[in-house]
Amino acid sequence: MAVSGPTAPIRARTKLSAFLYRRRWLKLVLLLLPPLAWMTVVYLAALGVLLATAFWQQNVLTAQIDRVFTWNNLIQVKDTTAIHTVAYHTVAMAVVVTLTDILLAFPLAYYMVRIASPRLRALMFVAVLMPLWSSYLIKAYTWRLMTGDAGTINWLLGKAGLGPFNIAFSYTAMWLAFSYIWLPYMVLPIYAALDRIPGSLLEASGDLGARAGRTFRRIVLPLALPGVAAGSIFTFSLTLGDYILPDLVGGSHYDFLGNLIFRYQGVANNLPLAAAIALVPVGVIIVYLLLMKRLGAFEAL
Amino acid sequence: MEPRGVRIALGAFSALVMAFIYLPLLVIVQRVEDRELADRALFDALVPPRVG
Repeated sequence: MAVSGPTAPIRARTKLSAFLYRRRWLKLVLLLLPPLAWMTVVYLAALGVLLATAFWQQNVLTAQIDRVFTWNNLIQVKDTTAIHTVAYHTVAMAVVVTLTDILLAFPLAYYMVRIASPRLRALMFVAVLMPLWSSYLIKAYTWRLMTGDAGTINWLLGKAGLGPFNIAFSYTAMWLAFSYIWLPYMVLPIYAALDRIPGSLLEASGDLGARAGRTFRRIVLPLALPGVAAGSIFTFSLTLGDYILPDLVGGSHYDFLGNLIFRYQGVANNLPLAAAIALVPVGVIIVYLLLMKRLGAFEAL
Repeated sequence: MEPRGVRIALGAFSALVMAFIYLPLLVIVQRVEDRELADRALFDALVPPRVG
């Protein structure tokens, strides 16, 4: 009785497997090629096109884009005071929201890691993540309702014998809404950073005579700083690029860079100028990332 | 181990932050429970506006 050998597909698969086993570098290249191609096409090529578009110009008669190199868009961005004001307001809001989220998230994360029981910690972890499951738009609309003259914020302040304050469609309303929406993105990296601090370090600090405050300043804070920096990358960049929340909660009086870009691209159809304005937040974020890299934020991500 | 006062203060602060996180979600739920609003939204969604 003849014994049949492996079928042709199995033989081919075995040969291919042996071929790749002998050439590890080729296996690595084949493995990395799809994600690298995706990164190149989707992220880098898009950024490249954005950069190139900023140096083209719009034909005033036909509204078509003339692919002729010009500095005009960047000069317009440099010379227009209104764009400077909007950029200043956007960056200021991103900084204030980041600081607010640090102040809110740090004690919460510290409580979760160091004080809460394992069961409570798990519950709080889910509770922090839960708002991420609801729609961003719904949350933005809710803040619009809450910050209204007869909204929840004024109702709560009224119960405390304060107010009412007219915060509808204001920077205060946007500050509250931004701080709320990005808060989980700050809590999680700080939680991870605090969780990585070995308990033995804190015990050693206590054994050497340091009080709780000193241990916090000299041990906990420096070791948690990369987590704070990592969280701030999220809150800062997300605030900097947002245009929906300023529109919904801030109303039509307050423009952010995102709103300007949206208007120039979507309404005025001036894509080159929109691309030139878009380079402002890109530049700010690059500078911010370089600063955060020096603080070790990328190790905490 | 943190002093008792610090633990209580951190617990109270964490509770306030949790309230801040969940207040808007409660408002969403309250709005969903508003039958009149929900009925109107459903009506707007189902019945196309009249033209002319």
